[in-house]
Amino acid sequence: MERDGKQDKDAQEDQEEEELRSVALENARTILEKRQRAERQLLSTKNALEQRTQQLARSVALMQATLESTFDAIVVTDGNRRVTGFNEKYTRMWRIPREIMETADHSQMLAVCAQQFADPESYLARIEEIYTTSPPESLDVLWLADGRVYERFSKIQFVDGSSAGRVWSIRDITAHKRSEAQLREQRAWFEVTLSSIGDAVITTDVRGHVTFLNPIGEAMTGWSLHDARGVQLERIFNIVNEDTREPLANPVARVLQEGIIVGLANHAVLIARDGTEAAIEDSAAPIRDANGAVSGAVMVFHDVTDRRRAEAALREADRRKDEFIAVLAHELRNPLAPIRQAALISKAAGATEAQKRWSHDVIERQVQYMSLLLDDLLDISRVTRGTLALRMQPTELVSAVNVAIETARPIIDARRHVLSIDLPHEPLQFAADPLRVAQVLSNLLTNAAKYTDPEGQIRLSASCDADHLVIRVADSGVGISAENLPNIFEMFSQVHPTMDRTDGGLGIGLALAKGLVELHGGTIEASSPGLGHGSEFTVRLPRGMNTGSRAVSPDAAPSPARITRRRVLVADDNRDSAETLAMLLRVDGHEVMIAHDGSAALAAFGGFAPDTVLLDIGMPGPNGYEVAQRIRQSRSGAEIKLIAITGWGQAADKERAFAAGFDHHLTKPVDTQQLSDLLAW
Amino acid sequence: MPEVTLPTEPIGSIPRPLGLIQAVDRHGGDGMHPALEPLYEAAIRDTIDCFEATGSPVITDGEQRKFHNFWTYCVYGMPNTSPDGFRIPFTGGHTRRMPRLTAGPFRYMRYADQYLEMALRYAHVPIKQAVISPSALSLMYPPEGIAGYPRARFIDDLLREHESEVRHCLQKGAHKVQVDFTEGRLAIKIDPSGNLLNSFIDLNNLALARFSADDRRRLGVHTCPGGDRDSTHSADVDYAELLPSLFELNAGNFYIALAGENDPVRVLKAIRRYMKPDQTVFVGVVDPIDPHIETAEEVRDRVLEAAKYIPVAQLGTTDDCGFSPFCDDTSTSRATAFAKIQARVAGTRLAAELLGAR
Repeated sequence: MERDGKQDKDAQEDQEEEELRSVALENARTILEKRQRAERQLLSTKNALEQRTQQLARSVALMQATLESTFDAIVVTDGNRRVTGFNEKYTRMWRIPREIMETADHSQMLAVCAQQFADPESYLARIEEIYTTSPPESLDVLWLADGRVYERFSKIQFVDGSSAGRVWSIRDITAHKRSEAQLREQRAWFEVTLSSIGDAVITTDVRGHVTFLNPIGEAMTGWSLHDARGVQLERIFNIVNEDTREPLANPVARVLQEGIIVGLANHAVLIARDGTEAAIEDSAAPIRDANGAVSGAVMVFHDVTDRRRAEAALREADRRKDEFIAVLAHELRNPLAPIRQAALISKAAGATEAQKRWSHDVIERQVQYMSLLLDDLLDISRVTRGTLALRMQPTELVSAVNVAIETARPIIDARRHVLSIDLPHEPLQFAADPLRVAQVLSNLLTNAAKYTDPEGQIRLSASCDADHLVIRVADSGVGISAENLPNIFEMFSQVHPTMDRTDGGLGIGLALAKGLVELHGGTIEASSPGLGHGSEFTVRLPRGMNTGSRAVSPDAAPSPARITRRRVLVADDNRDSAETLAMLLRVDGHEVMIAHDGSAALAAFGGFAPDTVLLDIGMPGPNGYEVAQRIRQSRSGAEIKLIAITGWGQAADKERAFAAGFDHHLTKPVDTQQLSDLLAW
Repeated sequence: MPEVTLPTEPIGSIPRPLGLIQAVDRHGGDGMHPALEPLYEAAIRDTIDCFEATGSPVITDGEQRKFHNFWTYCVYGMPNTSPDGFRIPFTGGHTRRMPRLTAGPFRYMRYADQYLEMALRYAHVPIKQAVISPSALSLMYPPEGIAGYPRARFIDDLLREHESEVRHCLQKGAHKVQVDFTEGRLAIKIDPSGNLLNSFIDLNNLALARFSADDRRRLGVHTCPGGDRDSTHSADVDYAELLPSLFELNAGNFYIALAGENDPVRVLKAIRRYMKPDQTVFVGVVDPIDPHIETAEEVRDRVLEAAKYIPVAQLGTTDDCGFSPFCDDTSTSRATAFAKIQARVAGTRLAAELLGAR
């Protein structure tokens, strides 16, 4: 029984052991399956992880490639100021050694960067500020000591909503800054240039808003650049037609629309902000950008008020000149009629001696009149061109007044005016050209007589002080309107430019008087209460020798004591001129030969052997100058008296005549007395 | 002279105070009786004090609270078990019986981190916590199976419970968590083909795989012939059959009984051959079963011998086994246990000084 119990126990233990083994093995199978499943999962996870790793590696590589391909230098830092990423551009831009980059220590890299600034401390302080204050973004412009300019932008990196560090991107903007500076310089140069030119300049943008206005433009529009900038052009550039006053279209609008250069319509008037007006001329042109598109417009304009006024004055002067020429032609034609008639009468077979004498008187009188007209014309020409020379000498006022009255007496008497003279009792002497002073006073008296109705009053008075002589000529005539008073002394100006005046005249008397007075260093003024109330002319002359007059004309010759009989050769292609002159000389007792051209004159010189030769200048063949030269070159020509008789009376003509060998120069019509005087000595 | 520091750690269990054992008996062997709480706490405090007095750099709570033993503490009192599970025979002639799972689900009744929590209140040095391996508990599943609760689900539940226990211990600050794998050599005994051992290795690795590499550096595996009442259950199994598979476990630390081996050099050679570069091997330098209290010099010599085969950087020392894996084991006194521990600590230090001097 004990052995059975032990066997039972052993069997039970064997069974338990078998069960334990069975359980263990069953567990083992289960565990194996789990392990295999776990391994499969692990493999799958591993494969997925490998794929993710490859994808991540590719992403990182792509990211790095992106960083490397970006234009900017990039560095990425974490919250502990460790560098977690960068591109090669960053190391090159900042010249950071490789070993520093490998430390991944941003502070060490910044120390290298800071040395490239003139003020490294400020650079580092700003970085510290960004780290400390941690703004979402930062933007700084960095000016390096060697002239490079960088733009640095930083931004916090957020991953899953929380800060993971900061991305710093740096861009080299040196060229950009240089371009900006050049652009600023160019703009400043343009603005200075536009501000310095004499015309007004306005520029607008493509919408017609003012972008620039130079100082001339400011002055003309009345708008300051500050106020005008951004304003529509039409507001500051208000233009109307000067005749119709209708508003004119803005040229810039067309420029902006059509892209063409546009000139403003004629007769444009700019009305400034304060209402003042100015006549303008202008043009506008498009401003184009680099692509050729219109980006704005520029308009240039200038004030032409003065020019228009001058043009009007020129037109007026031209009109007056034309009128003067017409008057001149009329005045010259007038004496020709009686001269022609008197000549006919003189030649008439049935003319009596009295009629012939009368004819000669008429001719002489009319010739004298024409000579006076021509003398005046020549004088005013000389005055205008500054070639008239005064013969200054101590002059008695009374003498000059008497000569003036004598000259004007015919017209005064003809119009039955009453002439009163009021001169100082004591003799009054002053430095002047007596003939020219007399000419001035005779012109004033003649004008007074001409422009006063018959039986009018004319008064000549004189006074003086220590420095000046004041002569006044007043009349009770037609007067001068206030409108004409400023122009009364101008050439071709006639108060009453009507063709029904009986006393004629060229209307240059006052201009001549003014010129002669001013040559003396004096002044002449006109005054009048108005039309119908007479006029007064006041002449002020300095009493001393302070004129700018030139030397006395060499034309002057001493008065001869007696007439000496001469052998005179007269050469003139104008047969009448030559023959009438010869006749006058023969009447004086001279022996005269006539030639009508230069060659004949030379031949006559050789045959006639004159002691005096009167030569016209403008002759066919050798002209007067050439004949004079050849006479002088001849064996007997040195002692010959050569006198030029010509219509050319300018100073240059005289100089040329003297240079050719002439002794004297007389202008036509010849003063016979003067000629007689020259032949007498 | 470079300083060498050799880590030294206990296995875990310390004999309970007699008063505690007697008190348990008085309560009908119910080690969970509430009246025992003060005694448990006093035992833990005393154990920690004595441990620290030995100079141990790393201590345990002596597993004072683990009732009934290191193997079944977590399932003691589980309602869906019966006490008639498998027997584990020991060379001393006694057996220990495992509980048998009778129904699902499998859930721990208690977790070792509760022991750690109490110990941390009193300790002044790092605390190490021992837990039972899932492979040991896997033998609770009955051979006939459980209706409605297949083995696979049981294994899942088992792994989850083990992972939870270990993770809690790590989170609460255990210096190391040691997985008691004394069934390794037993597995070969049960199945000489090695399939069972391999399945145990696989199961434990399935558990270890749930932890990170950092965590696994704080995880260790203890293997021994299974000591209880000065006897073992599988000392007759050659270490050479276990060690190749043992080092396949993905743990960072291995606590290997060596002092009680007849041919420690052979074992050391095997250890050297199969250990991995990232594994630390704590060799047993005191034998809890041997009543002789080792001297520091003896321990020193054992360490120096181990150092011939195991790189010093991967070498540590330990006790061959716990001094009282089963709570009612009085074969070794507390004084003897602490004396042996003190010798281990001192001898390890001596060896380290000598190794440093070389």
